[in-house]
Amino acid sequence: MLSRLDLIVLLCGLGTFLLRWLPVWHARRERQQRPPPVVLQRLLRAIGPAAITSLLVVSLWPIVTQPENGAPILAVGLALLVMVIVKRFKGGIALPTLLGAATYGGALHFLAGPI
Amino acid sequence: MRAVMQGLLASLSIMAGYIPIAISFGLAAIEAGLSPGLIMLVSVVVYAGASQFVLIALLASGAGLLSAVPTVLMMNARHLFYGPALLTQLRDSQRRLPSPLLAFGLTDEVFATALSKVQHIAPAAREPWFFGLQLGAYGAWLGGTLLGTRLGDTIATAPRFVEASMTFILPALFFALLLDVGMKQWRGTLLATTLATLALLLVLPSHHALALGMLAGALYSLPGGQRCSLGST
Repeated sequence: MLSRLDLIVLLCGLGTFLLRWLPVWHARRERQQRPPPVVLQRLLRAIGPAAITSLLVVSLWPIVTQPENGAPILAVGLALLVMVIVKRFKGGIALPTLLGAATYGGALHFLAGPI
Repeated sequence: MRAVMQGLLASLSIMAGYIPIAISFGLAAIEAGLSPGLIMLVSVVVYAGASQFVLIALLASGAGLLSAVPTVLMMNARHLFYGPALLTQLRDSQRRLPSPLLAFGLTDEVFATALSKVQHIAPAAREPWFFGLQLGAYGAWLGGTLLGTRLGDTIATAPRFVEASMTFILPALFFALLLDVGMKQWRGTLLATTLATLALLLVLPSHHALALGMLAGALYSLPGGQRCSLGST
């Protein structure tokens, strides 16, 4: 027997799945008949870089708008700099990500005192 | 099978980001008074980070179906654009996954990682590779949620600078992905997206700013905005 909470969770899951699946299903079906117009192809290719940028901005927003001193902003700057250097010399995604996060935590600890 | 394993390997960076966040989700949900079974159900069927945190807050506050479901769906509406954008990169794949499998795990991080890495995968192997990528990310999300519900007290005693590092894993992942995609090639789109998202964050909740900022940046690439090659990401 489903409880009210179970039902809410299941409907949220179903709705989220449909948001992801219906466009895929539709695009595949359309593509079998004809390729999408060039303007749409251009837009869809730009969605990726634009989404990553927007995700970065939104995820940094609560960190850099903390009502403290400038320590979080300095820590973010230092972490991003370390990531650029590591990415240039070592490449990959995982290593720059982990070193960037470690740099942020370490820098914040050093700049703001024991946190 | 080899392509699936490559995809699993490529999901390591997402796993590093997902495990601490999913642990936090499990912890927060336990503190909100939800049962471990219901918490796992949320991660298994909804599988969408930020909206899961909002959902547990709504459930804990006694919100009903008519307020909880539309709120979660509005937060996840940006996912509408991910599938068609991803398909432009998978069109030459020979082994085709059923579309529900291709779409189920299409989270922000999976989409962003796939877009930045799929160019390095042989066209014929792209869909199995993407399946492996999704599988790793989903496994990490479920494993992290389980850890959060079972080991909450132990994890809560981690040094605080480690906690601070964890809060930066997702921004770091997105920045690494951005470096991978090529900032020079997309500079106009990136600048337009950044400015639009920042402006929107001043007046809108973050999930709306995210979706609208992303669209504004992508629209910039249309004729009259940034010119880009259709053969590159």
